[in-house]
Amino acid sequence: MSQFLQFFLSGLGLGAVIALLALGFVIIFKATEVVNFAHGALLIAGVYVAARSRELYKWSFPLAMTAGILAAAMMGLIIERLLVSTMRARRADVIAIGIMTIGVEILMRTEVNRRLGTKVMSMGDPWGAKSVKIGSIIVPQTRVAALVLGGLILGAFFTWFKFSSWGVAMRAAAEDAQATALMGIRLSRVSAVAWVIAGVLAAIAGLFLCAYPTPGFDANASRLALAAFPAAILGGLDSAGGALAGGLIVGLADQLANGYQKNLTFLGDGVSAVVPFFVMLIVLLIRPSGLFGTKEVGRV
Amino acid sequence: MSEIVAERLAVTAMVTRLASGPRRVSRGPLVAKIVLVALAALLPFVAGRSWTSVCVLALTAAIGAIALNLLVGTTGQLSLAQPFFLVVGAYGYTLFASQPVKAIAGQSDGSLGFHLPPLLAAIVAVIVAGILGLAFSPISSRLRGIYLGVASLALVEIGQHFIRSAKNMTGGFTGRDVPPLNIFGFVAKDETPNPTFLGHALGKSERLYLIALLLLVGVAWFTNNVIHGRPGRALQALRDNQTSAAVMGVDVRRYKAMAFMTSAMIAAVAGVLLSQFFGHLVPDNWDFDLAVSYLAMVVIGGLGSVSGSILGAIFVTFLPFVMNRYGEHIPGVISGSSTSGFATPGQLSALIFGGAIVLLLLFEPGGLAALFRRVPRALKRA
Amino acid sequence: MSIDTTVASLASVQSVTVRFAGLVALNDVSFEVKPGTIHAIIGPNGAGKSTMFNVLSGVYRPSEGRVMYDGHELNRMQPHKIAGIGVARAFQNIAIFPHLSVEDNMMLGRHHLTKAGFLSAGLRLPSARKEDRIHRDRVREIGEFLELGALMDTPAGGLSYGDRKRLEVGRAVCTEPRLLLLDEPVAGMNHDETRRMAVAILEIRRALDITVMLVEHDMGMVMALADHVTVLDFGRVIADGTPAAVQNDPEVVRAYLGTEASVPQTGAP
Repeated sequence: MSQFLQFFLSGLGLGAVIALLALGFVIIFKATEVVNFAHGALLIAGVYVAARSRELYKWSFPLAMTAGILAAAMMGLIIERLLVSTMRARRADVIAIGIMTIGVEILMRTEVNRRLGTKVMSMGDPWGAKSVKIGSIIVPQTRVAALVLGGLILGAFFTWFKFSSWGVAMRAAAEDAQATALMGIRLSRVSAVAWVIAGVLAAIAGLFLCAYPTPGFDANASRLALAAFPAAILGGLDSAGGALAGGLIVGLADQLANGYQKNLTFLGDGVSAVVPFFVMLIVLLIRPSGLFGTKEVGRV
Repeated sequence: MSEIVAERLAVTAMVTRLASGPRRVSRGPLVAKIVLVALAALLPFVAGRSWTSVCVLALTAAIGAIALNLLVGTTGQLSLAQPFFLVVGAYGYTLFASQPVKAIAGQSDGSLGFHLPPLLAAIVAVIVAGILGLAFSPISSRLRGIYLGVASLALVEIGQHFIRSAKNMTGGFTGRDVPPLNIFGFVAKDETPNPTFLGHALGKSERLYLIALLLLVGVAWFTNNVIHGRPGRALQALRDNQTSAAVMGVDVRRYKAMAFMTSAMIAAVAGVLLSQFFGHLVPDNWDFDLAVSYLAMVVIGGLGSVSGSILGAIFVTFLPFVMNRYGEHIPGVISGSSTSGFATPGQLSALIFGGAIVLLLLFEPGGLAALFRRVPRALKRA
Repeated sequence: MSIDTTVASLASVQSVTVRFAGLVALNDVSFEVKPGTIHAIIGPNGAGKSTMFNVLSGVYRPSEGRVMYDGHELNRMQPHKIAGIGVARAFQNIAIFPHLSVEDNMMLGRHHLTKAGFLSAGLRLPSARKEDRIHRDRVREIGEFLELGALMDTPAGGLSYGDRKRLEVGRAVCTEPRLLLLDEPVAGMNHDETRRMAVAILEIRRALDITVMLVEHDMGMVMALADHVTVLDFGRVIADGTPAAVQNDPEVVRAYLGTEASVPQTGAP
């Protein structure tokens, strides 16, 4: 039982982090109908700047983290202003824009790879490899911090999403872009803010994902954002609440499969990598638009 | 209000096509095509062996790119599952064609094999890919384009997991040798001594090249016919407007599923060829990055165009090779003697692919195919 | 032309109600469509005319009621099945496929009449080639009929607005329907184009023996062409009868005065 609790807590911690990523992914989709395959690019932009500024200027962790978050937000804004909104202005198909973001992902990943080579950068976070002991349960401090901080950020976001004018505009935009535009809401601002927030969330998630038990930040870190895909899809691409649920499900599935690996050998080695995708497929079989996604109605 | 919504949707449907290039590629003069293929068939007897080898890879990639383009360009269904069906083709062929190996305690784990004649093994592997493609239809037929792109990532992960875990079929991390393809006595392997043709040895690379070229011609012809025939019209219609296609009588779900299955089978053909090229299969390289590079071929070549797929495949395959080979002459490339530079050949190629995808989608969504069509027109005007 | 009530209906709309998230788009709508007629559905903006067509072609499923056509219950069928039993639709907002040629757009209308699958089309089997030839001949005939003959090889995206509208109608005719739904076929057309379209619609009914349902804002056209008119307002049927009877209905006059500046007037198209 205590073992289960340990995996469960760890899974919640990981889930909160994945939820941050998935949330950004969903916000972008809601605001622009674009599936952002460059989510990993946002993540590594943030983490790279954080790790690099620590290395160069010996900044404290909070300061470096802030720099990283700003960099990722900046990156999101640049992608949105320079590329996405340009393509939207030309009435490009959302699939074309989605593929374009894959191009951005390749560029960003290659650039980090070029700068880093085989180097692994440590995050210098205050938690390190330490663990917390709660009764008989041992959980890495990073996971507890992720759970607490992630929970706070998610809570703050949902409150803000519910009450701020941007949140209202955003939800209206997702309902009916044309009508929203008629009501005088500037869609371009909704879209730009969405990308900035996605950048912020991705950077925070990235800082946790590159901390213990991961050895650090390396050239492959953008793959960490892959976990956001099944989370966002199984929750429902157009549902912020779904992103939260999806993130937690993926985090739990990952950690439980990882923890009970010895009992799951019949499923093959390293099964925890595929489990989130399996869960996603099962959900899609039952609900093609995800757990909380809206079913689309065909219109002519 | 509903009028406004309808209007907006119609405008989006009309104007926002994936590619702006004309979809109707003229059949072109048949003679020119035959001459082109004949010249291509002579290539390995003129070029060196390493070039022939890259050409095999390019021809194989072209088949895979045509398969993906049928889905992404013609049907508007984004798929990243290409590596999965390449795996099914490559590992499936190997499994069906290999002799079984009995496990010897403490020495070898043994492996499964069906020892089918190679050509039959290849056909069975392609059929298995079709069955698996169809099995995915509850998902491939119900999801709209962009969702499918993400959902199909699951297949990539499952494929990799299968390779790592099903050791008696795939050889796991140690990998597995691939039996040579044998098409009515034309075996894709080196003989001692190799027969010569035009003063050039007809070895494994040359044979594989000819087989790949033959298959590419067949696949290109078939896919072109599909696109310009009844199924292709239905696919393009549902890409442009699902509701309107359904009202015209197109069973949208069935056609999405069929497109996915057809694409899976053609990709498996490329997988069989890849297995021949490698000779020994290992778990690397069947990942997300491979899916992305196929997508790069399709976008760079031109969405919805068969000839574009071939151009894109050639470009994406040759670029890193050329960079590697002539890297020392290219400023900024880290290669051989020049260890200080901007980027390695691989990195520079990746930057070019990424940049090409972004720039083409911004400025020329029709890809290389559209650019090529435009050149003669521009020349005429000049 | 008066409607003979003894003739069996081709289509029968029975107490159809459509709701979207709390909004009632159609409210207990019933009417009959007699074979061989031109049956117009009119009403102010947002009255539910296009929703009615969406129900008839299977795009929307009514919350209540049913739609019978030739013994089939349309409200239980998928759109592509409905196309297969002879109900065709030309869209208001032109849903032609711009990258396909005019001929291929019209060939799409033959989809449910043809069989070639991936394999037979891909391998160009004799059956697929023969089928293609036969149906292209018929499509060219219909193209001539709608004055699109000279444009058959042009990409549809390059056509003028009026020609695109004609193509939209032509493609629907290519499905060899018995019931043709035309959603605002002359919207945005100039006077000459409108006249040509009106003639074409009369020809379609006469020469091809197709029953036509028409949603249209151009009252002159409606009054000149229609045998029977159903008037919708806020999702309800407020009048149903011959053009002359409907035109003088006080409720119809009120509905139009309430929302639009002009009262429908009879006039030459």
